[in-house]
Amino acid sequence: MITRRLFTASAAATSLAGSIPAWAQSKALTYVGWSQDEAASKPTLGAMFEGYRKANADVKLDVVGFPWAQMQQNILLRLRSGQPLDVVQLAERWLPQFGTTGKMLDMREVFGKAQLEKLINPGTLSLGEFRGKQLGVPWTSGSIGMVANAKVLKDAGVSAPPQTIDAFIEALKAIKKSQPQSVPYAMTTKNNNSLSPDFQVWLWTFGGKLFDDKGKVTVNSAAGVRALTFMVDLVKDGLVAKDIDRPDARRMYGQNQTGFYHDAPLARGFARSNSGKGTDFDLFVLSMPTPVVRAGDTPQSFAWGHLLSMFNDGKAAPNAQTPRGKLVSHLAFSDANQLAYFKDQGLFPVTNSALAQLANDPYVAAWTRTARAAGRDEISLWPNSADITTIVGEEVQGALLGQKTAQAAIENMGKRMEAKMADTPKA
Amino acid sequence: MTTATLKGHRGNLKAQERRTGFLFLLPALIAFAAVILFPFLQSLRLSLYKYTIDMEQPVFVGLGNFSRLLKDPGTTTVWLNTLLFVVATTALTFVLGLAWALMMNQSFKGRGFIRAVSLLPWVLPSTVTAFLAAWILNGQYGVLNALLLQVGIIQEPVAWLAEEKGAMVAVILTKAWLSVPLFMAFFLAGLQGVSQDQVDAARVDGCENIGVLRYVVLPHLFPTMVIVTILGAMGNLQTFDVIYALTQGGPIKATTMLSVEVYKQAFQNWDMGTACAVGVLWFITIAIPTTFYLRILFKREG
Repeated sequence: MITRRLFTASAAATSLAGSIPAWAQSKALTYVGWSQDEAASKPTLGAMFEGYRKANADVKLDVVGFPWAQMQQNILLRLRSGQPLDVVQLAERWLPQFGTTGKMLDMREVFGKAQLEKLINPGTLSLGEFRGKQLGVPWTSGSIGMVANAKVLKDAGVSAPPQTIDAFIEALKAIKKSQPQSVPYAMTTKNNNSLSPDFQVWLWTFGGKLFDDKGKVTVNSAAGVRALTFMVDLVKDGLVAKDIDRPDARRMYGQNQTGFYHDAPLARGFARSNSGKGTDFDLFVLSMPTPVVRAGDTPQSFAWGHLLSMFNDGKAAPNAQTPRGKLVSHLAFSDANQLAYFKDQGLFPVTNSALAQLANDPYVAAWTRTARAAGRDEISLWPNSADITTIVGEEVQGALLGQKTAQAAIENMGKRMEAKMADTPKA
Repeated sequence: MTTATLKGHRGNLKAQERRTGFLFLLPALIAFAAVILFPFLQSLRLSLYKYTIDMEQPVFVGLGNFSRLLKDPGTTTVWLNTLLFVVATTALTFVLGLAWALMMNQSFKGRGFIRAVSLLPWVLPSTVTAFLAAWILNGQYGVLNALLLQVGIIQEPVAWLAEEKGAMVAVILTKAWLSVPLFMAFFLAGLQGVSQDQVDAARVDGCENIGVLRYVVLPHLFPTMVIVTILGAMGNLQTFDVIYALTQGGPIKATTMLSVEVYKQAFQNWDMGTACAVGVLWFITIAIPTTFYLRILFKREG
């Protein structure tokens, strides 16, 4: 018979037993990111966090997720409200925005500069640098670079990826001729967030810049007009379509409907799934440098990567042996985890030792080589980067859709950017 | 009992009733205040502030947000887009809904089934319909292009949603497709009240179908038409999901309505002050048909 005393004793014992694990976890750690909630990477990252929990039973790891598009907003809100941000996943282009808060920790003080440079190539490490401080450790790095579809090129009689713009245009024409209903180059022509990186890469290729070193708007230049004219001409010649966003380009690439497009290293993973052929499709995926105006010019690409950062919580500074340091090491410095992330997601590792194990993969080797010279997003330096991205996207799209000439679009872009910058302090 | 005492007693009774009535109303009032009134007043207040997400505290700028918005040619574009979308969608839905209701009012075999099926677009979530429309109209792998290419009407895929006019037509057609069942249901209900005697009398007087429609049915439906038009216009002014799912307000600003602009300012540019100011402009725009609607409603009840 269950008596009241027995029931109370059982309840007390149950609650005590239940409280033991939390009780024993004297250290709490909050990780904030987006990838662990995305369907594709959920199992891989879930296993990594579980691995950390098992190895650090005294730490209560709380993993908080927000969608990528809402990450900046939520980090700022958490910063304002004093909620923990022990380890945070950031896109490399957000660094200036959070770096200026003065609340980010220099990872060199956490792990030591020499140790970081021993683990990761300085070129890759620079992805997490802001104003002389290492505010983020690269977790995966690459660039938004160009990929070519070897099958489409072969069918069109193009023997090798083109290196100059003239050769590129010839290759596009050959593809159009061999597949009249294809889109030879799936350049993004909608969605300001996709248009901006593609435009910047071509702008740099033609020798232009959005801003000079002092933050003055310089897009209204001969190089700017040449870059946009080149893009507009591709549309006019039917070598580019008017309604392409990155997901469309990925789908077309996997279905052999386009010869070239710009993407992050994930391109091969997308091609595997979109083609339905898995790794058998890998031999068609060629990483190539963005074509240049003159042979010998430096090919341009757009820096891309994910960082792991730490925000100051007002307590003692962490080191490599504190729970925070261990989590970053577990995610970014462990070859096993880095290679698992690459194997499952196609995201490139950052450690020299993990990269060495992929040395025989030409896709990784070629991409990593190009990525080291990748340019940083010129817009993310500014607090009103969303406005600037909109301006660049709208003006480029206006020209591509034939609503205005390339000259007029560039002039208008320059004027609108100058007006927007007039009352905006540089971040 | 004197008259004065009686009056006092009645007065107490009425006061008691009023208190009880107020108590019954209180939960709804609290919910209204919490969910609608307070956020609305907060938006009004914030529209007078500069408040971007990187600012610790909002800064009072008076009517600065409004003055900036009114000087921006983009705002005029958004307003004109909204006007075009509301007028065209409401008119198209009105005509199709009325025509469909007239057909559904005829007696024919399978009418019940067709009536039920007609409600499907209304039952489906609007975002699902919008994504379906986006898939049909996609320039590269859309069904419409595939059909037209197959038949030989076009030689190359057409980027329907990449052109200003194409995108606007797409959002209008999609929204109309979603709203026709609602309009039809209103008109069908109104048609049930049309006197068969009057229809017969009109036919005896020599009216053909068009005549019956013009002189009997439409005059009878007139009050319903007014209400449906105003409600439809108000609903179209508030449309966000269909437009955003289909075009995200593009290309450039071609399908950016006031609703989409509020979203873009708040959640893309993170400028809450400007977003609230656009919201106030949006509220004023919606208030115009709402006033007409309420006047008609009160007049009827009066």
